Amino acid sequence: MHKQGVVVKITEQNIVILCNDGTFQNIKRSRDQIPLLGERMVIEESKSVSLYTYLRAAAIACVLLLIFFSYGRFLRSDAAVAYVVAIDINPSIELQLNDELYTIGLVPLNEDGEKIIDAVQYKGKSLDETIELIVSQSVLQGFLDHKGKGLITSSIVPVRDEKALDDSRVNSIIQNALVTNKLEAEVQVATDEKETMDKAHELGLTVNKYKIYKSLMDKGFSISLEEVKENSIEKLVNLVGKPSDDNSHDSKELLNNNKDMMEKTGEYTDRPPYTNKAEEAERPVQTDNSHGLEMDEIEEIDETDEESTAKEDAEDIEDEDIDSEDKEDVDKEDMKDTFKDLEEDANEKETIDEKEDDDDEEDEEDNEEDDDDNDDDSSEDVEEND
Amino acid sequence: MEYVQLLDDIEKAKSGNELIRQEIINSHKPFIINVVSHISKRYISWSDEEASIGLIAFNKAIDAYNADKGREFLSFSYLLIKRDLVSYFRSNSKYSNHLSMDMTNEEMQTTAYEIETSIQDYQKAVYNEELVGEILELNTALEEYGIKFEELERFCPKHKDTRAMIDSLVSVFTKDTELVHEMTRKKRFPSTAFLRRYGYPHKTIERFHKYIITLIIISLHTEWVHLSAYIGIGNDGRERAHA
Repeated sequence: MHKQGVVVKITEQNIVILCNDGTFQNIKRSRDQIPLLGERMVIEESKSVSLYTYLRAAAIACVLLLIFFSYGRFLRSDAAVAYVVAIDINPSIELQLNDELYTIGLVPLNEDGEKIIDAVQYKGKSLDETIELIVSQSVLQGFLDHKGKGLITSSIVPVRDEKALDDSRVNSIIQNALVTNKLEAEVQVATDEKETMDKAHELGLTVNKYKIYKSLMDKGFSISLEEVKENSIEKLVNLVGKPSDDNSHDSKELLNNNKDMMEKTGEYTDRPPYTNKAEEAERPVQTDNSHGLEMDEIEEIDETDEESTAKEDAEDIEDEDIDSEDKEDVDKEDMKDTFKDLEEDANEKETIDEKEDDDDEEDEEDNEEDDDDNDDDSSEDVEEND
Repeated sequence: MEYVQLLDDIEKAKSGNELIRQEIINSHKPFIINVVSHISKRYISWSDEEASIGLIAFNKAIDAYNADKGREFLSFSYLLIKRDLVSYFRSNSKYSNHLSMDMTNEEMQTTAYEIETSIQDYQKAVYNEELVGEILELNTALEEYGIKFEELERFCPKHKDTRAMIDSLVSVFTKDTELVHEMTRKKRFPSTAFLRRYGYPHKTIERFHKYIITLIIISLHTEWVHLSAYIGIGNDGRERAHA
């Protein structure tokens, strides 16, 4: 193939030609080939064509190879994981994301998590969509309830040395999912390091639960991994806030009591004692009720704060025993007022309530500190004990 | 600059307009260096002695040129440059092998025959002097946009469809007086304004932008009849350049 053109410039290496078809081409020139500007030239197309077509073919081959190899990457969860976002409600789930924030894997870290994952089509969905699915599924399966407030904690772990994923972004995604499902819940998001996650994985926990587990252990609780796994994050967080100087604590007791405390209304979703924010605000911080640590106060999973306030409460409780019942009563009165609203809600599920109370009665007889963790029903019991 | 314009400028330069003289020289620099290289049979740059000889010769041509002598200016300049170069070669022994075929060492004088053959050589090679003039003017225009001829190959679309799209883009652009004004004022393609008005793919514009500017410039200079023929502007379809 030949092209005609006119010389427009000579450079050290090339002759620049303006061709008939309006394009410019650089032709290699030999040392003594110095045409005049405006001279006509005929150039061989074939050389450039073969180079071009060769490059094209090579490029197409590369693209095909890329497609071929990258397809597999979505099926191998570890290969392209850039971020792991762990979510704990009651179900513990880890989302494995690639650097485009698309979900390439979902890993359950407890039974409830498995239930959710089995019901969710997550492959290739974006982070937003996946979280939305998890939240809706949690509602469908009853892990999150329309009635109460739950707690959702999440931690973000950049697996490679990636730019950190913004906490607030994940926070708002979860919030949006809650709104879509017409739910209210406390949301806590933190960023963690890969090392922490690895340690957590060794124990079969998500990062969130691992951190809580650690703090519980530090306080001297003997709690089994199973219990950490299978209980909701809310319960565990509240446990952390409990006074911890009695080392003989049986974790089971705590969990049951906690349960009782939390599930005033008998709903099996966990929620903190206060759902009425206004009352929370009015409430003096220094109550005996270590569970009265408002969830809002727990800005981050910062154990030190909880510990110190818990310790204060612990001291208060001890004093109580020594001093008088009066203090208790007063506090109980306060608690009663606060819980009035809640109780109204609770009336529907009284039967379940009663069952739990039976369990609690036995425990409370042995345990003075349980005084704090009472709703109206069990407070009567305590009074009896005293 | 049309040819008439050039002749006009030469007259002005002759009568003492130094600014115009310098303009003429500047716009013809690629021509001068090309002629010098061609005659020296090697690539000459502006730092070479030959280049200054050519420059001086060209300047003389401006003064000596007479439009009604029936010779075109470029052929005339070619002649003067060649004459001075040959003298230089002769006084410079290392060039004794490089003299062009049709000159013998003995001939010192420029005979009428000599003049004629030189001109003929030039005109044979360069069929159309006007085209050369247009190329020179295009070069000057492109310089203002920071575009060099040798860069353009990279910015030329290979695919027929893309070329068709670019042609239509150029056609649309040149009709838009506002955008044209913006471009000639800023010496840049006003891509944001253009994209806002017309739905051309932003990536194509970026990828081929220097070529697109070149086409637009040629389209705007309707007086460049020969170049326009090469680009195919004013015609339907390509492969029409014969000039």
